[in-house]
Amino acid sequence: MNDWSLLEQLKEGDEAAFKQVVDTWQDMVYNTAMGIVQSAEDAEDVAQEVFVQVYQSIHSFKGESKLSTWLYRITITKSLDHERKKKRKKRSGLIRTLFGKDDDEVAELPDFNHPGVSLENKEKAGVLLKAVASLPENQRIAFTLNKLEGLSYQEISEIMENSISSVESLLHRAKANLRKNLEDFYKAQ
Amino acid sequence: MEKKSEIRNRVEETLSSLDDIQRATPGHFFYTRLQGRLMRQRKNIWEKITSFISQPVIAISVSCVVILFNVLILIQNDQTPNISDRVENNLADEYLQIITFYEAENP
Repeated sequence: MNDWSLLEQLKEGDEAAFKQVVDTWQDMVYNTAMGIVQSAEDAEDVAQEVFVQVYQSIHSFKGESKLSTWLYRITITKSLDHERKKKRKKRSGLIRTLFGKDDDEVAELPDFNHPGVSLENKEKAGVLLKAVASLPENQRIAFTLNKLEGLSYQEISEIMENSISSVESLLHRAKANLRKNLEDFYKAQ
Repeated sequence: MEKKSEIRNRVEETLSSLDDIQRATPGHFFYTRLQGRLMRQRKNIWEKITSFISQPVIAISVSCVVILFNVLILIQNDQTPNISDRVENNLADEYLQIITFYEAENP
């Protein structure tokens, strides 16, 4: 079933079409969410929210972009919303508002092991992902889409609605920031 | 100097640690859990509507509006003369005219 006919059936509320969408893209949505929220439980929660939104707002999808592009955008939005809610909850704690700094939140991130990383790279990947979590949002998104989803600059530019040169710049700055963070981390060890 | 190059190497190795990463996948029965969530959301919408309607303030306000509406209609009906009453009055008037005319013709 091609995208167009699948879309038409989705808009008619066809459950088989919806199941096909979920089966086809659940890994993509889950993996992207996991790259941003860095928790299996939260990634599952976000992935479900994404498909609930797809189900409820399929009529607003005009088909100007690919279905996968639309799904990536919803996933990124939901993941970032999830992160912001978590940060707000943390900040509302009295002790944190009195004594905490923003930097402390990165240091307090639990160690995250991405299940898709090979055993010999687990430790280094954990350090890298922690550093990724401290990047500015746009750099973090571009890095996640490039490294965890294996997307090209062209594909990332369509999802983020930026030019290819903007994506290149984001990735370049992300790597520079990561290099700096990692150098500081290993120097301190 | 050595330490610097060692750190640089570690940094580069760390940056490459995601190169062969495989996609993470959600647990089994993801679609089943998703269906459960959708069903709970639908129930929640109906629960919200019914709980909103059943709030005393809302229920009493709606009842008052309905009663007021009925009272207004009743008042309007009282003020407007009934067509059948008008027809009866016209017939009565005509009859009286006929009687009067008859009596006038035949004293």
